[in-house]
Amino acid sequence: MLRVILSHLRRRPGRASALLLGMVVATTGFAVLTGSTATSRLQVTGTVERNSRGAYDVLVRPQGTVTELERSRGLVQPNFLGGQYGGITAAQLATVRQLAGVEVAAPIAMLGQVFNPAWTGADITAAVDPTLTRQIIEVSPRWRADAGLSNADDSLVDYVYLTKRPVIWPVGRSSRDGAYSDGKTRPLTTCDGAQGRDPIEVQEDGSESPICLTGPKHDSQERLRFIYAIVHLDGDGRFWQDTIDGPRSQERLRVFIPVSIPQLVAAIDPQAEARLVGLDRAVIDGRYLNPDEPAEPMRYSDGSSPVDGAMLANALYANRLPLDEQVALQTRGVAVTGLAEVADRAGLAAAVAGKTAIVRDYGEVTEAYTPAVWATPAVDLNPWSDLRLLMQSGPLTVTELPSGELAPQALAPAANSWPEGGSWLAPVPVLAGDVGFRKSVVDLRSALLGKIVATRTVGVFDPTKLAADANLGRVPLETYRAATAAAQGRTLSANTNPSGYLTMPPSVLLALDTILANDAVADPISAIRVRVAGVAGVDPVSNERVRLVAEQIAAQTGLAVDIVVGSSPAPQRVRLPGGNFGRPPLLLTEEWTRKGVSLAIIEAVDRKSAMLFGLILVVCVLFLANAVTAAVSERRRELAILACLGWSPGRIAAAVTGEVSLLGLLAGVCGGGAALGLGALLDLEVPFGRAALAVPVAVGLAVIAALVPAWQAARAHPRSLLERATADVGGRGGRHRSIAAMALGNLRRNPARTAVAALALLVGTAGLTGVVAVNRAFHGSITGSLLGDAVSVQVRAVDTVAVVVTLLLGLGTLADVLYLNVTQRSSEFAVLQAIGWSAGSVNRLIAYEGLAIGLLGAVSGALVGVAAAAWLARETPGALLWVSAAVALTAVMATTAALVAPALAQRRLPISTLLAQE
Amino acid sequence: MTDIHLRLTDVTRVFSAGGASITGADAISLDVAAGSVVGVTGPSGSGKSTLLHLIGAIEKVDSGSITVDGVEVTALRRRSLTAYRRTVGFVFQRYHLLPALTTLDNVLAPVLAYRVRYDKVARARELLEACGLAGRESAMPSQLSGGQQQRVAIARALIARPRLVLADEPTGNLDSGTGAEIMDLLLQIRQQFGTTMLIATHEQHISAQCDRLVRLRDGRVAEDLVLTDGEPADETLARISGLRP
Repeated sequence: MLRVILSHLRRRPGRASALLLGMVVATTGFAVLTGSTATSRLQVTGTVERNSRGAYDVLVRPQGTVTELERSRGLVQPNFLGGQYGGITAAQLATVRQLAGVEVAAPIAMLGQVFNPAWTGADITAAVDPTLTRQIIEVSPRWRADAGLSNADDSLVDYVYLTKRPVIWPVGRSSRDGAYSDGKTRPLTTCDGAQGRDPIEVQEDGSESPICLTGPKHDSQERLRFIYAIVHLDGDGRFWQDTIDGPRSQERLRVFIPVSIPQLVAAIDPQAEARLVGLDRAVIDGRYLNPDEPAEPMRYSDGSSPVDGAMLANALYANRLPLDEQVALQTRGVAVTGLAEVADRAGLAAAVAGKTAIVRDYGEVTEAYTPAVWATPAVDLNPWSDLRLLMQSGPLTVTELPSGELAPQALAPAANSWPEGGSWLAPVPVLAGDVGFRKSVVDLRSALLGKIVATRTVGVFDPTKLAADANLGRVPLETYRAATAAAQGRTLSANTNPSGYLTMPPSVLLALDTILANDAVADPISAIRVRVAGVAGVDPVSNERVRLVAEQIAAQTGLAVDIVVGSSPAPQRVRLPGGNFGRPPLLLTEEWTRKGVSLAIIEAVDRKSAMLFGLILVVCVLFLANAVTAAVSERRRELAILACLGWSPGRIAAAVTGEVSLLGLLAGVCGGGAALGLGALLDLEVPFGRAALAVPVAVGLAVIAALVPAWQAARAHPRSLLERATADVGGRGGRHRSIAAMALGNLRRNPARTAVAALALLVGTAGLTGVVAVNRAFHGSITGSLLGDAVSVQVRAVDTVAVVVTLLLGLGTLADVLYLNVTQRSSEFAVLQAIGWSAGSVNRLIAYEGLAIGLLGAVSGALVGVAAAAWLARETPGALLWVSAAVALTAVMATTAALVAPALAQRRLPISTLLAQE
Repeated sequence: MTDIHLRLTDVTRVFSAGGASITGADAISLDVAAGSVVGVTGPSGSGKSTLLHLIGAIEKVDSGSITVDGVEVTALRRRSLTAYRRTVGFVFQRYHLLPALTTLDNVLAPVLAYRVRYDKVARARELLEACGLAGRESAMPSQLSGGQQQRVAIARALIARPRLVLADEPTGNLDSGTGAEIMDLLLQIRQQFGTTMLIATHEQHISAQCDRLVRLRDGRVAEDLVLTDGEPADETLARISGLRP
């Protein structure tokens, strides 16, 4: 039997080669592509039950920023972004934005805290003894935080020197012209050996004595903090002080204490932030940030620049700071007899010490923490932040106690790491000396911002007006929410301690492009908040859409992703250690967030890809089955003779199957080798085992394809085989008055063959339509519901390759069908040419047959593909129809390629011989 | 002398098969008058079909020329050859009807590939009627007898109103009675349309009805007999029966 099989193969090398090629293509494609079914899949565990949705659905952070507690228990601390500085590049942001399904990708770059100088004022008129000619009032600030539980006495006290003696004030102190408020000019005064321009007190005898402006000369922090006010009390009881506009009097005596106002500076994409949380609509004064806010050269009024090439970045400020900090003042007033007592700080202290003092406590003074610009936003005031001292406080280190309570790890105070000299504008906050919980890194002359040294306010926003703010109490993981904690019936908030347990939300916002354009750091972005398109709420389809986007982001950027949907407030009990300023250890109740779902990247089989690769084999089976059927049909006479000679039906079937199986074996070996070669060429991993799989696959395909024709050949009686072999191929009548009609009639003559070709094309076109539809009409992915389960279909490059291979095999099947039609109806074509048809007309007939099959297969395939996509997505976007039309048209046009082989075969027909044949 | 319709001058065609050369036509020269019926006889392999195929431009000559109505067919380009073929009616021994087409559509088949000025369907019906197949227009070839199929083939050959009909063993597959009917039909057509006919046959009773008899042997014209017009058939048969087949 083997000799018979080999003889058949040798007799028709062309056909055998065509079958071999088809099988090699299919098995090679299958062997290579199946390696890519294993893909990274983001597995979601847990059920989203809360019907809540925040401003964003997916949170993207740099790898390594997820805390152990978050990993193990899904717990996220409030203001979790506060401790994250950079880690995401602009390129990764661009990648996220290009992904299908991403509606908004809003980056935020946390830059750090800056400390702005401000002054708090208090009326201390009551501390004045109007009977004294000269008196000193010592003002001792006490800083209160943690709802009054922390009280920090300032080591530095301030002094007010109050004299009833007339005081002559220097005018224009910056100039050295010696002018005084009485219109006279005087030589420089000498205080502590240094010449200067000090106020002059007129003594009883008319002599003049300089009131030396004492204080720390070299300690910058003390210079910033120490205040020594000189006040003249006139006969009308009015208080005179020197101001920038000259001496001015007031009815009340006010003292001003310098304070540092912390601001958390962040950079955002204004457009994305407007879309995500409506930040543009929360602007209450000035204007919103433009996407491309250029940094401008910074100039003082005299045209000088603080740093060579210093730049100023436009910024948006929050109108309020959620600071839990107050300052209380205590005054001690004592009489002094002469100026010598107050010539320096030591003298001042000595003057007060040991004397009977009038002590007053002014309680809380809160106005300092809402300076005029914050309380009454006015851009005209144009506050600005010195960005040259950026303090970056890291995340908390929290461990879980056996009791389930959380325990933050205490660290050294932030003040310890304050740089020598600090900012030349703002003093070190007293509360920075409290226990720290975050590792603070002070970045003086920040490399982060390069030449940008300060901000300029262009607008003020009210965080309570943010779109998402309405849900702030319910939806966690918001960006601008102030962190609070409750303990002992008190509510604690952040204070000026940069490494305190509670942190502030960002309050100074720059445009991200300004930072990026400055090119100071490659990866300034701390997090990207992503809103997913098409998410209607918390339902399986929406959840799958979110999962798919998260998966894509993880796969393409390598960043850590979190699904925010379904997250819920999870109050946690936190054991807060006692502070350095009297705060006892506290058991806080804090609103943490529990993530609704946990994610894991797993290796999974992409079932959709596997299905597409399976389509290759399906079309290959169609291709082979058609070819084997044709071969059996052609050899009916021969098979009948074999039957007459005594071959059993089983032997005949085995001969038919064996011939194709032998080809399959050969194709499998070639396909396996080709798969290994392709793998090496394209740098794909094709293990030998999988390449070897090509052999059983090819043989299996061959056997499956040969089953029906072999069964048909075997079951027929020898006589019927002979009869059928000699019978004309019949037709079904009907009018055939045109070439096109004849073509259609011809297709009906062998409906099974026509159906095989159309089906092969249908499968390829349907696959291609589906892939193109997902890419074009659904922007890369479809998420829908299938049998009650949410599923997502996402197109990968290998899928496109698979459908293209399938379509090519479909076209190959069509070409083979047409080729068989030509060869089996060769005498008809010869007759047509003999009776006056041109070769072109005959080719038209073949072309019409091919195009008719092409139309049938391509249009129905496109419809199937579109219907499947629309059904899965539960929507039919207009683009879907265009996609289907375009793919169908492309497939029909591609069928012209399938016409080449039959047309060439037709041209080679030996007309004369065919006509002369019996 | 009647107008010369067809002229062959030293027409030669050699085939190669399995390394050997087979001469299908060997310097054949022949003049055929318009409206005449020429019988081409000879043993199998003598070149009868080849001669008809060469005249019908199905085969190309290796040398020599064929002129039809003053046009040198052997010098025509491919497109002109197709146009020429449309002026030639072919009738084959095995009929070569298109099995998927009805009788009527088979007759129409030659004129489906190009436009004609006449009502081709009406003409096809007329031809079928003339060929004795009225009422069988919708029949499929498989439903017709051999004689009927050959009548359809004759009707098909005449649809384009050819001035030249080439019939290759038109009665070869038919019994003698049916063969005679077919020959009568061909002669009737010649009578009616003045069509020139070359009929390849090896049957003497068919060739006896021709105006002229050309006998081929090994691709050459071995004998060329003009049969006397009005001569009784029996006498003609007797005259050509002495010829070796």
